[in-house]
Amino acid sequence: MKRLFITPDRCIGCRACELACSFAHAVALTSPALSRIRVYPVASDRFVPVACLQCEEAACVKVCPTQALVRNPETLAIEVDHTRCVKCMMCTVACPFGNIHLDLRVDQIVKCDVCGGDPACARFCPSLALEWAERPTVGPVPKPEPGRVVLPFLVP
Amino acid sequence: MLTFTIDGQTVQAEEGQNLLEVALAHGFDIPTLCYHPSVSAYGACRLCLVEVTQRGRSRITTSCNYPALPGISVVTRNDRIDRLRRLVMELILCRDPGNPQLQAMADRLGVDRTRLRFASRQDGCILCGLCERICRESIGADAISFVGRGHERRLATPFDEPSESCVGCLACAMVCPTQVIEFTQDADTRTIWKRTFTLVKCKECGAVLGTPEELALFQRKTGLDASYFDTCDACRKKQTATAFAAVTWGGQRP
Ligand code: SF4
Ligand code: FES
Repeated sequence: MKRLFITPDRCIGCRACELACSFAHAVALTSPALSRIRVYPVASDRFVPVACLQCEEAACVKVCPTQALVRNPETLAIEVDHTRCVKCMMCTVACPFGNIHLDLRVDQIVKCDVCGGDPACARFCPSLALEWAERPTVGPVPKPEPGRVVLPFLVP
Repeated sequence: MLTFTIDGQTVQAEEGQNLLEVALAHGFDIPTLCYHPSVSAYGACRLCLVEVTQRGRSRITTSCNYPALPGISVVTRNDRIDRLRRLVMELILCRDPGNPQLQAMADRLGVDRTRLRFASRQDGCILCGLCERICRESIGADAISFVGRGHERRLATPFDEPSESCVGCLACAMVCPTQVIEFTQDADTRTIWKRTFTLVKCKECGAVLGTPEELALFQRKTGLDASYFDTCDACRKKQTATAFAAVTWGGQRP
């Protein structure tokens, strides 16, 4: 089973993931502010990407009064069923990690859905700080695999 | 699993599903006003009409409250269904010909006016009761219900007083198909169904979280600790980053 692995000490703070995410989820408009993944600088050279952890016992799922948050059995990601959601926003309050939001511009609850099984953020992360894999690689960043999208000017 | 056909296409459904949800899940387009997948079907708007043929006999019925049955064949559109939907739409439209949501549905069905004149009350409410069902079945507050009979039937809180069971979550206003449930919100308060709530703010940044009553209700229903309900998502995400940083770089700088 593949998962999204986040290795903060590889993150170079380029925010390609935020851009990739908002493009992948563009509803009416695209903007990094729409991204489900967010990169936080914690020191001048240290960055932490934060995205939904797809908790096994998720507070958002527990709190949702309309069963609008449903786990996709294939990707294990919790997805929003917009036909059920009543925008009560209780999920956004209850998530202990702050990984589910109401976006007023698209008037929808947004959260990471691992792009249905091929997360754009991981595809565009040039430094393997984000990986969609069975298990994360360890140690120094390996050479990019053929076919992997790498933005040349961003390679650390 | 049971098998039947919709517009000639073979589909599978679970026992207990209704025709409408099966049809929507398979991408068929059926107009509805009173349907919401999270609550029980009520069959109020009559727009979801389809033709069902079972053992050689066919009839027109609402699909939202008709069970999926093995071997039936369902037609979602033909001249007769279109004609009936347009008639129903005219009846609904006379409730409030100026309502934008009703006009949009009328447009979609090819109805440009209603021949009926019915002026008792033109408040946009089509008495579908979706607000009442979401409040009772999903939220569990049960703050509003139908009152009155005949042309006086409407939705209200008990005795039209501010309801004690209302938690001010706005779910009713969100699901109302004609969007006529009014509420107001300013920096500190929210008012709906004549009741004013003082809003709870994020303990870090002061962003609005909700009403104390709704937060308490959801906390009670989930059994989660009160600390789950005191911080906004933006502040929490920042805290998560700080916590990840501590795990990654330990006690060193940040
Ligand atoms: S905002 Fe939508 S998804 Fe979130 S808890 Fe409410 S109904 Fe469920
Ligand atoms: S959706 Fe079936 S009657 Fe309204």
